[in-house]
Amino acid sequence: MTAVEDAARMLTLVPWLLQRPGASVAEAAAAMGATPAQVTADLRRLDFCGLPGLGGGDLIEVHWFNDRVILQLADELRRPLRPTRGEAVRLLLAAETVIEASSEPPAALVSALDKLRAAAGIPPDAVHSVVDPSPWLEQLRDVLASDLCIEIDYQGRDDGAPRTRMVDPWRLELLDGHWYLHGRDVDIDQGRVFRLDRVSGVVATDRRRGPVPDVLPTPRYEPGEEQQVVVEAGPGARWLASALDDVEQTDADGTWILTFGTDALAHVATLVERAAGDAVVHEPAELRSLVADHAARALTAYAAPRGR
Amino acid sequence: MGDRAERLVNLTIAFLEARAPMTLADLRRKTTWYDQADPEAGRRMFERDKDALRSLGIPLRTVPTTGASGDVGYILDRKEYELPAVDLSVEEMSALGVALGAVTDSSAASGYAKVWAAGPDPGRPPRSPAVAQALPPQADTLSEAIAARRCVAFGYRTASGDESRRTIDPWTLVWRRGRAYVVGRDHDRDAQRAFRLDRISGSVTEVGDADAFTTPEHLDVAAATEVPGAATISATVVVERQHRWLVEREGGIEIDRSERTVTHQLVAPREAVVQLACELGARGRVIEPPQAVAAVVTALERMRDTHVDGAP
Repeated sequence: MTAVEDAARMLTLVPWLLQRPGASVAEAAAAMGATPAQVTADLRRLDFCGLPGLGGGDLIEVHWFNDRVILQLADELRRPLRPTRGEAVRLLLAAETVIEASSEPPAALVSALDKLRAAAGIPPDAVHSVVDPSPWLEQLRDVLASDLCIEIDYQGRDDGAPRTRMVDPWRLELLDGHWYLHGRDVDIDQGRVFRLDRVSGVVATDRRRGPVPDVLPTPRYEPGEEQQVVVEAGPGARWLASALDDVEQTDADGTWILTFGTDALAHVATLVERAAGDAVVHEPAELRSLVADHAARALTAYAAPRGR
Repeated sequence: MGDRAERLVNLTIAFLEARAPMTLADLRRKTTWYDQADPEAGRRMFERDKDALRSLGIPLRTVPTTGASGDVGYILDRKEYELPAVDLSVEEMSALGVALGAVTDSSAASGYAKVWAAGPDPGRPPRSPAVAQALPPQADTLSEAIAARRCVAFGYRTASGDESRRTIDPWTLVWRRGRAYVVGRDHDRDAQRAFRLDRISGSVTEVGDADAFTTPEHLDVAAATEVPGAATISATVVVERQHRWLVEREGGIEIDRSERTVTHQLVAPREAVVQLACELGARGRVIEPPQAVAAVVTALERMRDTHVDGAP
């Protein structure tokens, strides 16, 4: 935290506490998105703020009642600072995206958005969110509104073909433009995240689902042994860089050399295959032969007479 | 003298409470903050503090003073500083909180804290789909320019790697596919364009006056941010049943099936058809049109030849 960020938080903390005399440090910290220790430090500093020397009245008084706080003589800062245009636009965009991602726009959010836009002086068309739907979305929303279990056909990262799993559906999530379903994989009794563009079928069952946890567990993922991969991506295969995680990327005359670690060679092979010859694996040798075999088998199939 | 955060808060209070423009000389007379032995060091420190306040969005304005010193004065209009009444209900505050809880963007969070400071406490949030988004820093200048209808200029790198300087009328920011775009009129091309913010190199600068253009009404932002449409072809793809979803994901429509395979009609850019066929490998096969089949075979041969034996 820099001094400037601390000052910004203090300018918001003062009006927040003035409106809520007797609030606890923990409540204030939650509202400021800060730790209780930071808020306590802010309050100790505020005890020295105010400007007798400049004719601005007395020093701000911070009264403590155990972990509860009352501020006095802080009327100079009775209103919060206007959000910056950047803050307002980000807040509006968050609301826009949630509206776009919901099956029915929440009325309170729509009206909050209008009020906020007017207060921040942002024109109505200044920011938009476009949410591209998934073909499974409508069905999954219906299922989520009911309390039933579903069976989904899902292509796992390491599976050769989609597999059917029984799932307690919990929540939909939109991440970087991709839809995901959080739920409990009933067979292994574990929270899992399913990417909707790898789902090939959804069937509602008549089995009741278990309770949805208040806080969704972070999916347990036990990474296997990592291997280093080096892939050369031509101009047509640059999308590989954003399809992979933690990629180190160097540019050699328009060809990108991508270096990264993976515990799922089969998944990387699929991506390289999709690059349709525009990407070349440098290492490991195992991945090179996966791709070579895939191409060779496909060529054999294309060479065979049509219709079988 | 206290620490810097404390001084910045006090400086804000001093400007808010001052009845007349305040100069550095005034501050030196009344406080010890900028009273260093070397006056130049004190002035630099004041300049840094002033910039810090402005970076927080504190609308400090510079005015000439009548004094003989030639010093500039600064005023902070309380009306410009303060969040105007937003008048949110508990439900609205909660709904905003949910929207915010769904996103991961610290600037949105600090904006919410300000609104909350003057608003009601939100109730227990209802569930909503979670979304993740974070606008890059260029969005700050762009949103100022969009609100003021002022042109902007920036360096831009296209998908093919060409860099050039662009000047545009910025109309709107669009979030799509996990990315931010600015849509507007490109001056040199005199046409509507969408620019990805992550391809802007360096900073965005505002150029010219406010109210320099009018934003078109009923702009179709979805169409404006489509991936540039390569010409599509209509292909016929046969795929093993259990892998049919790969074709359907691309928009394939079933037209026939046998015991083991499904045949799809797929209208898509040629490049996408070739990519799909290469991913399918021996699990499926493009059978029409012949040009697409030939392109697939060529791509597969390239893939095989660049991956057989030793390192490339």
